[in-house]
Amino acid sequence: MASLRSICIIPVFVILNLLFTSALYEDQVGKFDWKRTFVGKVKYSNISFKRLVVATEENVLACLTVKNGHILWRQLFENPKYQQIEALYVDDEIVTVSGAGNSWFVRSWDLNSGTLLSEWLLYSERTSHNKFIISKDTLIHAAPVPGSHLEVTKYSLHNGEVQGKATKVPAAWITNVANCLVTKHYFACISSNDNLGQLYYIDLASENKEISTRSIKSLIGEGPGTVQVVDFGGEIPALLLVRSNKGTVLYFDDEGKVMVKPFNLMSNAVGVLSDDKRLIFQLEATENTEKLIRVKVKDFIQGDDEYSVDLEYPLGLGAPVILASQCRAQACDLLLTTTDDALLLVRLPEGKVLWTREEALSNIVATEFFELPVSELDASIENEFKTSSNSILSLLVHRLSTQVKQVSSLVFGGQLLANSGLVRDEFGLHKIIVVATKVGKLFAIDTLTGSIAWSYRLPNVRPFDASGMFLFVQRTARYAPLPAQCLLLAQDAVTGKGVLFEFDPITGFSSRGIRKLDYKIAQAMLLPYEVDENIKAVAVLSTDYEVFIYPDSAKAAAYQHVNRLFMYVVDSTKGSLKGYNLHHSSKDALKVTQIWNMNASPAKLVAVKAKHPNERVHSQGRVLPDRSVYYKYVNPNLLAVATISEDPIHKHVLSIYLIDGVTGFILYSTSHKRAKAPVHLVHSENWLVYSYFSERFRRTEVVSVELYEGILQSNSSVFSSHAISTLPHVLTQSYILPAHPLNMAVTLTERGITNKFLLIALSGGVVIEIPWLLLQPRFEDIQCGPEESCIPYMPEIPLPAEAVINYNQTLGRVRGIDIAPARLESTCHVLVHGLDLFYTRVAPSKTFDLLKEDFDHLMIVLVLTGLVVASYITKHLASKKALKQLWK
Amino acid sequence: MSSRQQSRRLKWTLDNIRTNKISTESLAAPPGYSSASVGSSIEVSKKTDVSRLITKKSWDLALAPLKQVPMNLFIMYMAGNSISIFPIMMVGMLLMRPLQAIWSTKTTFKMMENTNAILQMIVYVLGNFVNIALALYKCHSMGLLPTYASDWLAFVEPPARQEYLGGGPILSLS
Amino acid sequence: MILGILFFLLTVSQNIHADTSLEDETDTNASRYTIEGRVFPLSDYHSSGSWQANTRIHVNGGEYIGFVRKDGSFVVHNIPAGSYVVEILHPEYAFEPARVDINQKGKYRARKVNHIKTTEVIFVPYPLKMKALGRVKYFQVREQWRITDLLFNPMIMMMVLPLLLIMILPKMMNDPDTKKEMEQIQSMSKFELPEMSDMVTNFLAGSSAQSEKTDRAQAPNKKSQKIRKRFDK
Repeated sequence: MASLRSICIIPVFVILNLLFTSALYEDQVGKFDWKRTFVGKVKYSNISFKRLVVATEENVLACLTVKNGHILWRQLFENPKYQQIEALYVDDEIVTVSGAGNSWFVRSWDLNSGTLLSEWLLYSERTSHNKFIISKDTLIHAAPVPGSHLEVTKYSLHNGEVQGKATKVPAAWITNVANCLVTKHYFACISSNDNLGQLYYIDLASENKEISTRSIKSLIGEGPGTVQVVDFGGEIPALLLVRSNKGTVLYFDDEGKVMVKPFNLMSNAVGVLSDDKRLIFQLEATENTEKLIRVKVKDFIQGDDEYSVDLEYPLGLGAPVILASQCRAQACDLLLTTTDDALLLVRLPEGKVLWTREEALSNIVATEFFELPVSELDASIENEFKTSSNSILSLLVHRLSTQVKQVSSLVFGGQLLANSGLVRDEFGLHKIIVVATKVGKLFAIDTLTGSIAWSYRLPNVRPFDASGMFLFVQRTARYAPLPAQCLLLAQDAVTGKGVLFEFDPITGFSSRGIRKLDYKIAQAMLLPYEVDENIKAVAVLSTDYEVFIYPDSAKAAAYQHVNRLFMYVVDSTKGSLKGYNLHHSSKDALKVTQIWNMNASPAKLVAVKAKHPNERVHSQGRVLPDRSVYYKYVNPNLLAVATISEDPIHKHVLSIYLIDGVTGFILYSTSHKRAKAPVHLVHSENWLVYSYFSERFRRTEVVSVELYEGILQSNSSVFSSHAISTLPHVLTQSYILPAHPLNMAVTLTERGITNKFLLIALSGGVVIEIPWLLLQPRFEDIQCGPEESCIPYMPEIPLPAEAVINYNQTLGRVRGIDIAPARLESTCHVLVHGLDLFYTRVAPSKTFDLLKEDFDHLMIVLVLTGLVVASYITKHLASKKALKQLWK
Repeated sequence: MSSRQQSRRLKWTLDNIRTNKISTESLAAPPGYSSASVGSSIEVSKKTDVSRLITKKSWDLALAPLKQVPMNLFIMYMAGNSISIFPIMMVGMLLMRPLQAIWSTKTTFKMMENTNAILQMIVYVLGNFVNIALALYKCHSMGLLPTYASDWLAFVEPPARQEYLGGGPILSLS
Repeated sequence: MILGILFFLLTVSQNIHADTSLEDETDTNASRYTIEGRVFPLSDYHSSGSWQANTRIHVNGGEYIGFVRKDGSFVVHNIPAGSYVVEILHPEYAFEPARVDINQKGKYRARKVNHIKTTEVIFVPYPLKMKALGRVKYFQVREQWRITDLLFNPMIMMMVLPLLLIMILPKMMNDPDTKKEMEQIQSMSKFELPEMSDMVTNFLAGSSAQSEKTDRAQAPNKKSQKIRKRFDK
């Protein structure tokens, strides 16, 4: 067996080596790729000397430098969807409590290196609302049960041994856990949010655990508005009672009594211990447009203003909150986080922002690549031929003026765009990536450097529940005097109604600003027709089945093509898939009519994938070894649908359908027993690749499906979904993927000539490229070998390290892979996003249209000149010899 | 150059014949020898010999391409069907040589002073055509001729779309 | 090779039919187990700072994760009974994964991962001992220009050899002995063959002569003419 196996593997690996030669060279590292590392929105933080320890909502523990905010080390915990870090304690070492439900991991970490020191598991009977209090050696776990009691257990911090016994404190006054908080070793709750409420508190560290109570009225008096408890921080057990944005500090003294400070604070006030002196920091908005935020420092004892500093707050950031602080020898460092997830470090008393981290980029919901405009010089040349005047004199004047301009720009350097470097290059390798993030902030990222060109925060905007946000390219930068235009669709954070934002993706400038729509968006599509000023219109479907066209001027064109426009809507909760056709309902209103419906319930619709709208299929057929053509069935309207149903015998059954999205006609369907999620679909040209986890063999399997029309093409000039004469011929083949895929995508090139590569993000943090040729189904009756440029079938897909496009730059929690073609046919742009951001260029068939970068220009010049010189010398010598011979 | 030489030689041989004739006339014939019959026969044979030589030469020329056929076949066999620089060069030669030869048929046969070399010319051209056919066959077997549908596949335009589809998961429930 | 593939397919299909016994254990039983082991780095591993912090343990592709302690040991907590693939992830070093089966009674079994023959059991010690296989090679090696590459290029050989022949042969010719030999060879290779053009001319000339000449008797064939010529001389 072994020998047979090795015999068949050797030639296979020879072929593979040929295929995977698009791997990087070591000296290319960082030449055209870049990676940016993030930690996510910070939840807990601690500054200790030069280090800043943060625990984030991404379930990440990281250590940053205070100096510049760079990550020293980072540890990724379990999936943040299910588990969260709930407590962070920093002393000589870091202690984190993370988890969910009733099991919690208590881990301690080395502060310098981020190495795990100890880990133990904390089980609790209660499944929710756990509070953890960590002190030097002990961990107190408090589990409040609303309306009943409070369970308190004490553990040894390093080995998890229970110290003493778990005690149950009767606490019927716990009504809502949101009204409770833990400050140092005190557990405090208010029973209701109004004047009648009482403040209950317990010292959990003490043995007898007495419950003390004070009425809110006696603490802060009566007043309108709801009362909330907010953490105050500082090194003492204290809290803020906030009513109508005014806070009052309460603190517990050594004897366990509540003391009230007689002054009012903002709700964002934070206590800080500075050289044995307690201070209060609070943030206020200012009228000054250049320095928007003022930090006010108050004395803790009397509440007198010590000093206040106006911050050089960067424009475009959201409202800040103080997360952590550290004061040493007069200077204070304040760590701020903003509503748009940015992280800032401010040094007081200068009020300087030391650094800013845009953590919003750790949660990208939409991506689009944009071509850059031509340089001003090129634009002026283009404009020269666009003048409308006809008289010779004006033409001459125009010509002269543009040439003078060109010369001046050559001499003095270009203006504006050239200065910012955002100018199109020859091969379209320099692009701008516009990304929309979960918090509603737009970023434009330069592909060459990875730097942020501009950012724009949309307040009160959130992504759609199902699929993030939409970015539509309405006009590219190709139409020189007109700027590029992009459209963002999202929903209002409060009402859930649609929000529309038109902007220039190169500069971030928006002429119309944010437009709030008065309906909820169900779906949207970019129409394929260009209307006046080369703008492509966007059709938005409301939940009332009405269609709106943006911009308005495109309505007429949309009406004209209305019969050719179709939409499909997937409702994964109901398990239904519906197809619609646009039509006129009245003179200036568009509606949709349902033409087909697929109901998958009780099965769950787990994935639906259409083809990339900009995909071009260059080759219409596959050439067989006898040089005849087997025509592909390329249906641009084809949808791939995956459903999973529960089955008593087979546990899960995965069904795959290929549906024509226009007619609802099912062209192909198959099912796999004992197959479960995660299901990933890749749909391109005439093929589909899907992966699932086989419960039976406990491995990930990948299936490729290819559709062919046959040896005759039914209609080579026009494709219509309604004209299906015969079912396509289907070829399939399945493989084993010896890894766990997180995401899959396929490369896309300008003209579709280049081979296709699959990009698969694996759980280990690598993105690997697999040639489609490796997965392409083989014909049964045709021999497969290197002569037919066909790789013999092998069940296990090889994953060589050379095929890892991000080499040793491990990426955390990949959520998406976005691909755009460059103007160079061989190359495409790849942006991998997740917790980290990684950009690179991929050339599936190598850069066949470009000279190799290690091409020796000097060598060839030297050789050529050498040859020319040699030919002249020999010519001279030859003539001399001929002369001599004549004389003889 | 060769044609000039030939014509020179023709002139020269003619002279020679004439002197021969004179010499035979001046000398007395041996007894019992009828000079009339022999002389005339010699003259006739000489004359036919020259024209025969010319026709022979012209047929030599005319049959040259056909003689190349076995050699070409051998070269073709040796070149193989793989596409690399030497086979391509050989095939190019195979194809170009007969074409050039056909082009210059007239000049080739110009040296044949007698005008009735039409048959030879036809044979010559035919022979070259045979060579071209061989070269084309070679091209075909090497896969250089676009005779299959797959050879035109790259020029097939993708069909125009009739319908456009857009959509995705429902974004917000009403 | 074809045989090998066939064999492969056969084994795969056999597996498909055979392996129905081992998939059972995913149960929601509250009993939770731990997977323990130890990572053994390569000797040059220590040079890259604290390798422990950069090493992660993934169980079933990150469903459960573990971290490596300072001494290289690791424990993955909170795992229900079942079958798991344990991977060691490090950006610079490759490790072989292992499959750990935990049955309902809490018995452990560790074996090699084989995705093709899933029932095959090759035991590995438990608690796991994960040794680094070597450095991961992410990069291609750039080809370097060497003079020998140029010299042994078949094209260059093809160009150089005839050149040598052309240069050396004339020198050999100067030698009188070899010259003689060459001549001999040449003379040997000369042998008479009836010329085709001769035959065609004869054939055609003969026929034309026949048609031209009225006197058939006086139109002898070539042989007789030749004989007569000899007589003339």
